[in-house]
Amino acid sequence: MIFLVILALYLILILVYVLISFFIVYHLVKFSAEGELKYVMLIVFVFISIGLIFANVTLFFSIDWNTLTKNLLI
Amino acid sequence: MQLEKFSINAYKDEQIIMVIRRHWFNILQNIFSAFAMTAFLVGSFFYLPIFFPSFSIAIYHKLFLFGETFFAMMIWALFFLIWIDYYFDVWIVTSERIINVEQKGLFSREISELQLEKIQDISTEVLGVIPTFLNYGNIFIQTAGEKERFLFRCVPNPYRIKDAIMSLQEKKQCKSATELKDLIYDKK
Repeated sequence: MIFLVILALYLILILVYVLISFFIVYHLVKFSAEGELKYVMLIVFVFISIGLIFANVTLFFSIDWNTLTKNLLI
Repeated sequence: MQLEKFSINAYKDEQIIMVIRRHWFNILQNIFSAFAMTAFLVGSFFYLPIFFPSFSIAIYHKLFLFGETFFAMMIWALFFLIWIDYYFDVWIVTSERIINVEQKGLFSREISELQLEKIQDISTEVLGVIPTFLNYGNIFIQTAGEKERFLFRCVPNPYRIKDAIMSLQEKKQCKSATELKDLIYDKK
């Protein structure tokens, strides 16, 4: 039960982060004037963001939240 | 560079003279908080496990790494939000007008323009030790248009920009006067 609550909260945070990232990419694509810099910014932002999200999600699911919360509550 | 790249329609024979962004020191001031957070992130990665040995226990270590990566994600987004605010905040001086593109965060983008012939007065302001040393400041343009005052905030070389705008305005006035003269003589 407690895992589901944590998972729901985590999904909301990830969703907010993905939305912000989407709008950052949208701005970079739509409003950038300098072509070369636009692609550099896009590649850097997208690849590092994907890497960070992947690492974060992997770590989230590798944690035993039920045991952790029990340990923390005792 | 073309005006269309800034999502602005160009007039016939309009040329871009200058594209001005805020001085790099201004973004450095804004980005300082993000740098401080990064320093805290790196510092905590190395020193927190020393002060709290329980972080070396597998389950807590994973939680610690999870927290670190989450914090890194926030800093990464913050860096780009600051960059977008800086990079898309731009003043474009063309042969016909001055265009101000003002980006405020992700959801506010305002584009205003001022015809060169509507300029009444231009003044510059360089305040403080660092702006004087790095040569950046504000330019105020008094206009006869709807928006009475146009502000170039924290731009590099404000005196050079002011001179350039003034000479453009003079050229524009001379051109208008010549055109008017031609029109009068043609009618005669």
